Amino acid sequence: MNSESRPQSNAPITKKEPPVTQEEIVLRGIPASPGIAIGKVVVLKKDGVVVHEKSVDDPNSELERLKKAIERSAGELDKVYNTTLEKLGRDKAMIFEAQILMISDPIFFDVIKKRIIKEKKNAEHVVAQEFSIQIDQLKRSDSDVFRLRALELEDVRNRIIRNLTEAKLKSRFEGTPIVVTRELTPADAILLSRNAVLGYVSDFGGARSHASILSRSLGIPAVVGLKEATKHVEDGMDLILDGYRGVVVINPSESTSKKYSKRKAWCEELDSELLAEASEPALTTDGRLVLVEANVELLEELPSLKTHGADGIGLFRTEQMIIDSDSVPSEEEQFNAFKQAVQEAAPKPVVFRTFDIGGDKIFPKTASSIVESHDEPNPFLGWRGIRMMLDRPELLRDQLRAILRASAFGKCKIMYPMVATQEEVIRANKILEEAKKSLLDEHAAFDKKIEVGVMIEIPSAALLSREISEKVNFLSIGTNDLTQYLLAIDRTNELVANMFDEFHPAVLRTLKYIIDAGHDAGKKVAMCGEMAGNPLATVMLLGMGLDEFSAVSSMLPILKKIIRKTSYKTARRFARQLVKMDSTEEIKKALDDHLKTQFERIYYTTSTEENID
Amino acid sequence: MVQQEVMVKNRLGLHTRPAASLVKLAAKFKSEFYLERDGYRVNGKSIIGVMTLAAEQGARITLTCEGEDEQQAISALADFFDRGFDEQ
Repeated sequence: MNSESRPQSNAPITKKEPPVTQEEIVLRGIPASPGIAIGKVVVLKKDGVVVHEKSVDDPNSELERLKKAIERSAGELDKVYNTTLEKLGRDKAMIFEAQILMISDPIFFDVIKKRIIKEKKNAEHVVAQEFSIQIDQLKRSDSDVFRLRALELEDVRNRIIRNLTEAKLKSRFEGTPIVVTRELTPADAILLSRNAVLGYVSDFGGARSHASILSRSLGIPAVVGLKEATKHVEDGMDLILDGYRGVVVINPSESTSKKYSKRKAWCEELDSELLAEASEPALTTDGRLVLVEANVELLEELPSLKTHGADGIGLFRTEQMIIDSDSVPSEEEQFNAFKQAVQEAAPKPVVFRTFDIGGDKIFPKTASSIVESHDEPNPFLGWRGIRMMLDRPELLRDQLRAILRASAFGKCKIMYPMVATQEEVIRANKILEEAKKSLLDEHAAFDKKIEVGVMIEIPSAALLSREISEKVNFLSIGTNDLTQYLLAIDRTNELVANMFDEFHPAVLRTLKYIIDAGHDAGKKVAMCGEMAGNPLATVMLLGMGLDEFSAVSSMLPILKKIIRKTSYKTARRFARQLVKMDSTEEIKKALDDHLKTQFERIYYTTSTEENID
Repeated sequence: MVQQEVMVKNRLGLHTRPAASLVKLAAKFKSEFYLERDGYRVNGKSIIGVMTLAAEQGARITLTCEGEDEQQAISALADFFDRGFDEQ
């Protein structure tokens, strides 16, 4: 998560009006939610609000403006709270509790009102000053909890100031605009979805940020991480958003607009065709059946499983629960969440990956609430995944108990991340046996034959795939970390990030090695890394013998379509050729050509190529 | 005017929920209510004020009540601190 860019400060800043041209501008960002939107821009200003100090003749009208702004802000927060409660449940709604309490603090606002009357200053100025005093006070605290309150108080201030300065915001949403903003918060994603927004564009954020995940579950196309999209737009401008490829076109020319209208119709046709057949099994033309499952990190993603035809959940990222609440959830809280996932997926299986914290997976702030704060020079080579859990066996035991208890309600599997040796699997399995025994003693129901698997993402584990397979029921390959460790490339280091390529010949040969080793031991081999969701890789992975693909749910219908149109025999021949190739370039060209000639429509929907005619 | 020194006992400190309960309790009395910690003083009827105390477990706070029902107010409020805001 650290690799995402984030705004440095939320303080109101004085901003020069940027020069805005009428020329066509093409920007590239991160495709966060698929779909194409063509419409008019509404800029959602939050933190760039300009606050000027002004003297006023009639303080009473300032008080009236302030009263309305507070009411409107409170109304917005209420809406956010209720929508979240309705769509995502009580736990998520409680995120907004502190802000609702803050905005209904009459004593605090009395101070502001008195100052407006006494000093005859504009409401924005006094609000900004009074909030800043409190925010600075909270920021001095040593406690993470109170510093978080400071951020929330900033949010409340920005909301009130926006409502003071942009009273027209609501009416501007009466159309169906594309919202452009610096950073989309989860509250924005939810609240704006109630208005008929066509899409989201933001300067910051990543594909796995909360707001992006929510956009996908709400079915709203989004492109994030554009760095400075807000600098190029103003309200009412024409904009095209391509959420398949992460492209945004500002002021599109007539020919660009025509091209995208065609592309939109064509993608939507393909989409509805894909969705209509999504529940069909992924069976090759010559009868090999593979499973196509979803990666899930939030409970609100569950409803999209059925529509996208998921054959289960191939990766449930449990650490998201820590990130959300900034604390380790109790066994009971985990059990409730897991049970919900299992019941939603039933009769299909859910693979729960035990907490994978450390590396870039969690903010240091959050990690410090679990363990003593520690700085590591090389977090990717450090204390993360199963290593941390084995040092904190009580955390692992609680989590395994929660998964076991959920297994009474449907098919569950357990998966350990960041395993490097067979020894770690043996130790984790021992804790699993203890967890099982404690449940037996309590006469609690659970699946006594629950399957256990290991993520293969460290080169040493890849080389020991055969030996590790003997201790587990399945393997699942994590391609992002495997690539990073094989190539010795830190993806978050800009100096070398461009050398990161999951289609490196060494990666391909390692994948083949893992799959063969797993099969030799009679075990199934799955993949839950990014490559599993990349249509370019589908036929190759099928040909290498991969048994299960697990990817973001919106990609599943595409993967299934490719598999259904391919024969296993051809795929195997293709994979054999690829594994023999010596250069990344050659491999990528072969993959590209294959998808382009065999699956033209899928290729043009997902490809990043310029030409989209 | 009456004063009493109290300590924050619960593990999470005077965070959102206890702060809200404390403000609610203070609103039941007519007396003015202030909290002071290390020379920093806030109005005890303002939740934003109470939050900015950032009072963690073990923090010592001086309560001040002033008004016609100051005796009842301070004993009720001090008692609430003593009970650890009814949290574990």
